[in-house]
Amino acid sequence: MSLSYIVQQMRPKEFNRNSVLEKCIVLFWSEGFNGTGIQKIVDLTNVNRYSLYDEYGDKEGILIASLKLYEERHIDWELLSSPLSIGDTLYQFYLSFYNPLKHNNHPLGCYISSMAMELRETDTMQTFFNEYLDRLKHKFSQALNENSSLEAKELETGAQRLTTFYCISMGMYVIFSQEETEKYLRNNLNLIVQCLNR
Amino acid sequence: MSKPVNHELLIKKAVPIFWENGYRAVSYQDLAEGMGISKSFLYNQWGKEQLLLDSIDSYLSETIDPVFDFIEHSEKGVQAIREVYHEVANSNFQDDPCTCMLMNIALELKQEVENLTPVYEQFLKNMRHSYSAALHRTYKDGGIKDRNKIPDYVEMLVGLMFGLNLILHYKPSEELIVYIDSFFDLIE
Repeated sequence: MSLSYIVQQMRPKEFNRNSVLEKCIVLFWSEGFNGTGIQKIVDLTNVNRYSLYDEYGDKEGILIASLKLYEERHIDWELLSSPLSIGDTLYQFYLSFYNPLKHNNHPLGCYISSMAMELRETDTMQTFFNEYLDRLKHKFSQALNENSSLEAKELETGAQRLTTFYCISMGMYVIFSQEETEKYLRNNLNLIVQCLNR
Repeated sequence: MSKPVNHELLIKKAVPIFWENGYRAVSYQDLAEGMGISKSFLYNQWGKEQLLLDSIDSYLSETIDPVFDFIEHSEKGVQAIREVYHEVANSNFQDDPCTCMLMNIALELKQEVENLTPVYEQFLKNMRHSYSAALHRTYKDGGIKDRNKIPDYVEMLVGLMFGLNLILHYKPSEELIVYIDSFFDLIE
């Protein structure tokens, strides 16, 4: 047994938590959660499985931690509080998920929505995704409040509609090209915004 | 290699397996058991990818084409589309895998299976065609003012179905109906 192996066993948490999770995001996202075995994670991150289990409990624990990190790091919430018109603000926000140059190695769309689709039958994802949609609705409501002159009741409906539209948009890349996706986002947001302002 | 007479029947048995479980999670063992054939027969006759493509074909002609046909020819125009969307929202997917098999598979496999791309492009073309026919009927009946907006409405409704396919698993039917109606209310 090599010394480095023993040291690794003794100090299980000594790895860069975020860089491990970043790698897991790319892995789960491109190959699917079910398509990724723990060995693949070990190979890619060079962290042994005992350290991983010690830190996250199980593969699902890694998933949840990675979803939280993604939401924190890779969703451009600031775009929602821009001084642009509400239509342009939303357009920039949605488009940020479709910029292939933005995040190295990330597939297009939203990681959270992709996992929500794959793991729709699981309790973990039911809880996480529903809470995420609530947070999203809250952010949309804030954006509408800042950038439009809607009344409280219309804010609620508007935010709800945008949340649904979010779910719709995050699957678009599968069927549309980049160009079609942009056109699609633009057209639909125009419809929604017209309706909001009425 | 000659195909057996019950070829189509066997494919029909594979459809619900892919529909419920997706592609990756399904093993040769699951398929062979569900179809009542041996694994070696399955390997020789189809292979998993070809079986998936055949299953999607069968699913489209049995389940989807009749819906597009109804939408295209219904007197009710856009209301026919709304009815279909309500039905999707109301279906109980605990007992019945009601979300679209092709959309699920497309989301799961993305661009990995090349032969899948022409299949869902054709599917989308048929979907747009039937929606467009329904919307034009509503236009003729005076329910839509601006004819030039029809292509945008078609895209919106196509996208709505795509989104439904995801949120259906997370929101109760009553809430979905409200969402759906709020999108249909945008059409005027």
